[in-house]
Formats: sequence, structure tokens, C-alpha cells
Amino acid sequence: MPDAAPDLAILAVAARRVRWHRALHAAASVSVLALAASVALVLLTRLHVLRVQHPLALALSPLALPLLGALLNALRPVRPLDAARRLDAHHRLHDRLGIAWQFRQRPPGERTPFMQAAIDDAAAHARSVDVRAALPWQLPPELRMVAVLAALLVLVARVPVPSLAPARPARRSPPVVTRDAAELSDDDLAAFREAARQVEAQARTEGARRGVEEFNRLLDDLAHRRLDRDEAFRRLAALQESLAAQDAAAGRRVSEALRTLGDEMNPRDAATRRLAEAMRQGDAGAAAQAMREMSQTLRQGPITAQQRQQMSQALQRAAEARPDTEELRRQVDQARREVEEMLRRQRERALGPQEESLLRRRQREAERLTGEQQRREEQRREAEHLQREIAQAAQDLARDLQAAGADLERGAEELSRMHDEQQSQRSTEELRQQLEQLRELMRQQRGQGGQRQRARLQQFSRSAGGQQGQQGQQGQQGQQGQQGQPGQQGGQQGGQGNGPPQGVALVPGGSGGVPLPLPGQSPGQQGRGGQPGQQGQEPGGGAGVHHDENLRGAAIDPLGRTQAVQVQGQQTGNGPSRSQVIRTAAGSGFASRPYREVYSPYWDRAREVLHQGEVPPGFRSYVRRYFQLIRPREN
Amino acid sequence: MASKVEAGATAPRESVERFQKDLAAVRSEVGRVIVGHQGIVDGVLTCLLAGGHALLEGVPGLGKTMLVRTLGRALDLQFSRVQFTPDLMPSDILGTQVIAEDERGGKRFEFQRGPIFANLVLADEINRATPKTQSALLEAMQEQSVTIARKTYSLDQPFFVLATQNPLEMEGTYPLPEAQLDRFLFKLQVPFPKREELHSILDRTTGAVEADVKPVLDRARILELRALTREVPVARSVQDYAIRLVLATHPDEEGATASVKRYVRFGASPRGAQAILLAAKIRAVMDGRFSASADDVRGAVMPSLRHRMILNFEGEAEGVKPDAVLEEILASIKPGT
Repeated sequence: MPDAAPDLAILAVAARRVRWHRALHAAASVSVLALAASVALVLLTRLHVLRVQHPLALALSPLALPLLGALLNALRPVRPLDAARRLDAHHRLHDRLGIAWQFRQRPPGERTPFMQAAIDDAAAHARSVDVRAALPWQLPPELRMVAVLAALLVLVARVPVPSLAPARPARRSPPVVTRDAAELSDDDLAAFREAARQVEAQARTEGARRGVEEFNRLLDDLAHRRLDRDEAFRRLAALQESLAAQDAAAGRRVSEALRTLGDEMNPRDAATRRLAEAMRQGDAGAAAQAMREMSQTLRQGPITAQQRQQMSQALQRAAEARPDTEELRRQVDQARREVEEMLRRQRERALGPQEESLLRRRQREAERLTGEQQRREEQRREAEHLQREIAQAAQDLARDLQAAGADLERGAEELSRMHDEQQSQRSTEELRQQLEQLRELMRQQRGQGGQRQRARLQQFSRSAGGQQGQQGQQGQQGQQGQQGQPGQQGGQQGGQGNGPPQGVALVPGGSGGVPLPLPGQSPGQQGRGGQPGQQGQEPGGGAGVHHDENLRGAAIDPLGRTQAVQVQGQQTGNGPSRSQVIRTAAGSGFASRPYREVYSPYWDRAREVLHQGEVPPGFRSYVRRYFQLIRPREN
Repeated sequence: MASKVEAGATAPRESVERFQKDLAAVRSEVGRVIVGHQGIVDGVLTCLLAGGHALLEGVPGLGKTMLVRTLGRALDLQFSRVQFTPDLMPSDILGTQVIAEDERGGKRFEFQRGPIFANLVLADEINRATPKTQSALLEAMQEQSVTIARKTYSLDQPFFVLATQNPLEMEGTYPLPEAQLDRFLFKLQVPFPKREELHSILDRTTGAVEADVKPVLDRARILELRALTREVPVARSVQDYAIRLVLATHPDEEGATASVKRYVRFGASPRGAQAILLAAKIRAVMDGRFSASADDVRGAVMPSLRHRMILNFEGEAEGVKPDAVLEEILASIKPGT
């Protein structure tokens, strides 16, 4: 009985073809999903919703799935019976091939004559079977979708799309309108956000970055009116506390320590001049750069023996520099002894008023001196590592330039760390000021809103930007100014009413209605404001030290509907304080320089003045507010 | 075991060719008298070769009786006809003991055989007889023998019953119980002839010439053919397909369709699967093939299962036809899945 196996070999051919068909269709099906995933990934990456290091690789990675799917389906075996069914169905063979294949699986001894006849019959029919006709290549129906998605992928990858990154917080938190919500205008929010961005750019430590993040969250919540006033103040206080917990004096200690080192170095020594200057200025960044350059010089040469000696001596002096604490320690000891003596006397008998006053002064003096001593000690510790590296470099200079260069490189790294500390301290300080500004804005906000005031602000901003203002809008609101803030002890205070524009005019300073001290006449206007304000007839006896952190009193009413309070200033002899008015743009002609360029030096100078304490603390927020309002906008 | 010898002695190809030739001769002879109804003729022949019985259902006047009579003449078999009426008694079918007198004047009981003692029995309008009489016939169909007065009489082979029933006039009838319907291999529905077929019928039946039908198959050959069909193998996949189809008629089974679940009370019995496979084998050989295919199974499903499915009240109330349910099953159950 002849075996018909060769004739049924067509089943293997058909099975292979079925496998390839399956692979093709699987690849097409998976391609649809993979391309859809790629489109989504590319879109999210381009919208900056998704931030990855290698966006292209991430976007293209799903495209490997079709290959995988095709491979798996190509490798998965196909039963000859399934292939036979396809051939039988196409050629209307009434299952001849499939049945014959099943009968052939039996041992020849178990096959009946009819089974063998069926196998022979199938083999005879198999000769006329056309596998290609029975299993034609058919393009997967998903190919159209694949083409569409591929085109979409190219489109998404090439067409510029706007970034949605800033909108993410808004999407995360649906807007909730809160009763009695703390409210800030878009302009104010933009100003604070811009400041936060600048602070963030400077932040080098984790604490500073966290502070900025929290500040941004607070701004978002305020923007969406999710906070009532109590909650807003509570958040502000919490953030200020967390910033206060950071070592605010670290940057200052670094600067002082560097100055101590720089003072010991010879300013005329060419090799170390730049380093010495940078240290004397307390600039750790510049000092690090100078020290790196020195390291480079040592490593690459050439350097003469004299230069080496001079450099070694300069570094040695810097390494041995210490803050003068001996005299301070002596003073501290003396102050403590005096206090102890007076306390002993107090225990023996009651002290007179003058003695009591003297005791308190002595106690304060002792505390101050102790604090100063601690400060210098910390200052010494701050530079300890740096001095160790510098000393090592001075020693190595005599014998191994490469080792000395490496020492200086380590010193430069230490300086970089100190620079980061300085930067973070500055950014923390800046953030603290922004928080203070925000608190003041919110504090003065209540009851000061209104369209009229907003219009006034816009007019003011236009004038500040160099445009011609309307006549007399600002000056008409001139009122008797109020000299000094709570905690200040200087100046006179006028009554209320619409009197001539003397003193400081209170102009609402924002859409929220924050008052802003201005001269009685707006510059560049032809209003009735009259002469510039006048203040400080009798200088106060020094400024108070800030206001209460939790102060939330009502803001100053720009219409003057306040209760006049007479405050007697004290003559302390520490005055006078001068008011400094920064005028807005010129009233005539066209601006020849971009406003942005004009603004920066003015604001820097104002900050310097604020920092020097020449402006009473109660007025500092007004100065900052003023500059915030007249800042150059993006548009 | 003549069939075994025949099948073994002759190559399958020749056996199948002879089978086809014989069947073609029968069809040709029947076709002299019967117009159309090729499916019915094939169904009846299938039942005959499978050793089963057929139930023909159709309105009066469609030629059911003529078909059976013609078949009897073409097959050269002993033919008898019983017209079932309500007063028909079992003994009228099976036979009875009568007193007979011999040459010497002695009297004795003698069994007088009834019409069932024939090779081809036409039970006309079977549903008009009482259940008692129906049972007598159906028991003989199943047992292939008759027991009277404690004596068993075997029926000659082939024994083939063709029963007819009218689906319209149900008044005064006794519908066959499900258990007895199960005894029929096929239930064939005789359709009304088409226009062209009616022309031929009128031409043949209203003319002066009457067709002469010659016997082309004798009893022995029929038994050989029966044995031959049993030799036809069935592949596992085909058998599995038949089983899945039968299981799908059961509302509680996994492959049951929505119609089955809704309208069927009980599905087909294992006899249904046997009927399908036997019929599939015969169809394959009729087609000149050596094994039954899934197509053969599909072709045998309707006549094999339509009388084996019991509809529930909702199905009966909504007039659901078992054929519609089976068509849905055939559409949902595919071979090789």
C-alpha cells in the first residue's frame, strides 16, 4: 500500500503560508496599537506634559511591538489540519485533505481499506490543489488605519504645538471658589510668579527649592481662589517659618570668612591678585573661578620659582588667617563679670532705677558680644576646610606643582560649595521678601477694590511706562500724608480730607486696591496736584523693627476716611531720613532707551537703599510695591 | 458477514462505484413515476440503507404513497400498506391467531401474519391510529420482530417502515409521542411540487400510458449495500462536529444558541448523533467518496434532528419550527472550531 506522504506535503507548504499570513495580520493589528501609543507619547512629550531624557527613543519604542508580534505569530506552529481545512474549503474537496491527514496519523496496520482509499483519493486531489489560490496574500484591513496613524505621528512630531506644562496644576486642581477668598490680580500674580522663577533659578539647596515650590503652590491656590484669607495667611506664616528655620546667616558668614582670608593676601601679588580681590569682595563664585585658574596655571605652567614662592606665601597667609576673637573674648568676659557683679548686688539689695537700667544694658551688651563671638567662631569653621586645602597647596607648591594644583582644585570645589550657600541664602532672602510683599498686599487689600481704583492703577502704570497720562488724575487724590507707620516714631501726621496735595498721596496700588505712596503730583501730568509731597518735617527717632508678623489690619483708605491720630515723634538724633522719589518716565519726548534697561538700574538702586535701611521698614513694602507695579511687562 | 467479505474482497473504489451505479438505477426507476422529490427519494433510500425507518410528513396528494409503492417495485421487495384509522387494532398490523382446520378435521390455532410481515411497510397516516396500535408498530420497528402468543416471529430483512402523517388535519389524531418519534431515523418533509414538476405530474398521470417500473435491486444486494455503508470510516474531527451539533440542541449545553435556550425543552438523543453519522456515511458513498465529511454531517442534520427536538411551551406558542432552530445551530457551530 503506497504511502501518499509526498502528495500531502502540500499541507506543510500551506501551513507555512498560513503562518506568514498570521504574522502579517498580527503585525498590522499590533501596529495600530503601537502607533497610537507612539502618537500619544510624542504628543505628550511635545506638550511637555511628559518629560523624558530621550523622547525620540521613547516615542519609537512601541514600534518594536509589531515586529515582536509578527515574529511570535510566524514562529507559532500551524496544525496541518487547519491548513488542510483552508485548502478543502477553497477547492470544495469535502474535507478530503483534512480527513486523509487524520487517517494518516494512524499506524498503517490500523487503517482500514476505506481509510487508505480516502488517503489515496486525497493525494490524487492534492495534485490539483493550488496553494496560492487557496491562500492568497491579502492586505490586512488594519493597514489603512496604520497609514493614518503613521501620518498622524509624523504630523504630531513635526507641527509645532503649544506647551501645556504651565496648565498642569490647573488641570490637577479644579477651580473652587471660596468664600472670602484671598484675591490677587493677574498682574500681581504674574509679578510674583516672575519673582519666583528668578529665585528658583538661583536656588542651589533643597530647602530653597522646596520653598519656591511651596510659594508657587500658594500662588496657584490664590489664583484659583481656593484659599480664604485666614488660610492664605496661615500658609504664608508656615512658609515663612520654614524659611526662617533655614540658616539664613550662612551666606553672610561665608562672605565674611572670605573677606578675612582676602585681607591677609597681598593685593599686589600678580599670581593671587584675582583670588584675593574676589575673596575681599566675599564673592565665593569668583574666588572659585580664580582658584581654578591658579590650579590650571600650576598644572600647565610655565611658572617661575619666584612666582611659586610668592604664591606659596600668599596662600600660606590666607591659610593662617583667623578672625580676631581674642579681643572679643576679653570683652565678653568683662561684660559677663560686670553682669554677675550687678546681679550679686541685686540679690543683696534692691537696685535703683538707674542701676536697673544699667544692668539691662549690660545684659544686652553681654548677649550681643556672645552672639558676635559665636558668629566669628562659625565664620572660622566655615573657612576651615578651605584653609586646610589652601595650606596643603602652599606646602605642595615647594615640591610638586601637580599636587598643589590638585589641592587648589579641591579648594575651588569647596569655594563652589560656599558659593552655592551664598546663592541659596540670597534666594531664600529674596523669597522671604516676596512673601513679605505678598502678606502686605493681602493685608491691605480688604475694602480697597473697585473699578475706579483699578482704572487709576492702569493710568498710573501707563504713565510709569512712559506714556502721556491724563491730566491730574493722580494729583487730585493728594491727601495729607501719614508720616510713619506703626512702630515708627517720627514725623507729623495730618488730618483727613481733600486738602492740598501735601505730603504723600495715597494711590491705590493694584486691582485689589493696595494704597501706594506717591508724590502729590504725578510726573508728566498737568494736574492740580501741585508740588511734590513733603515729609519728615520732624525726623523720627529711628524706625521700628517691622510690624507684627500676623498683622492683618484694614488697609489705608485712599479716600482718607480714617481716624486722625496724633503721634508725637521722639527726638533721638539718629535722623534725618530722606525720602527718595523715583520719578516715572519723562513727561515729554520719546524714550530713547528701552524701558527694561531703564528700570533695572533704578530697581537695583532702590534695593540697595532698602537694604541699607535708609527707608523706614513700614514704607519698604510700598517701595517694593511701587517697583512691582511699574516693572516692564512681557507685552 | 457477506458485506465484510464483499468489502474486503473488492477494493473500496470498485465497491463505491457499484454502490453509486445501483443507487442511480433505483433513482432512475423511481423517477419514471415520481416527479421531483429527489431529496425525499434520497432520504428514503438513506433510511433503507442505514437500517432505519422514515417518517414522511406532507399534505395529502403529494405522492407519498405512490413514492413508497414505486420504491417497493424498484427494489423488488415485498410491500404492504396499512391505512391507519382510529379503529385499527394492533392485531390488524401484527397478525392474529385464527382457528384453522386440517385435512383430518382437526382444529388448531394458526398464526395469521399481519401486514407488518413485509420488507417495505407503508404506515399511512400513522397519527390517526390510537396510541396502542401505534405502539404495536413502533415496537416491531425497534425490535425487528413480533411476539404473539408467547411466540416470537422475526421480521425478514430488510425491514423498512415508511410512515406518513398529515400536518394539517390534527383533529381526531394521536400525535406520536417523542419516544416513538425517536425510532424514526429521518423525518422527511414532502414539499409541494413546483410548477414545472406539476406539469410533469399531470402529463404522466392523466395520460393513457402508465410508467412501468422494473426491479433493479434485490433483497440480497440491499443487505450488501447496508454492510458497505457501515465500512465507511469517519474522521475524528467529523465525528466531533456531529457530536457538537447534537449537544448544541440541548439548552443547558455550552454551545446552545439563543433560540435553543429560549424555545427548546429537550434536545436530540444519542440516536440523533447515530442517525447523523449513518446518514453522512451514506451521503459520502453516494457522492463517490470514502469517508464522511463535515458537509455530509451538515446535510444530515435536518432530517435526523428535526423530530428529536422537543420545543417548550414558548416555542410551541410562538409557532417556532425546529428547522429554524437547527439552521441557527448550523450557522453558529462550524466544523473544526
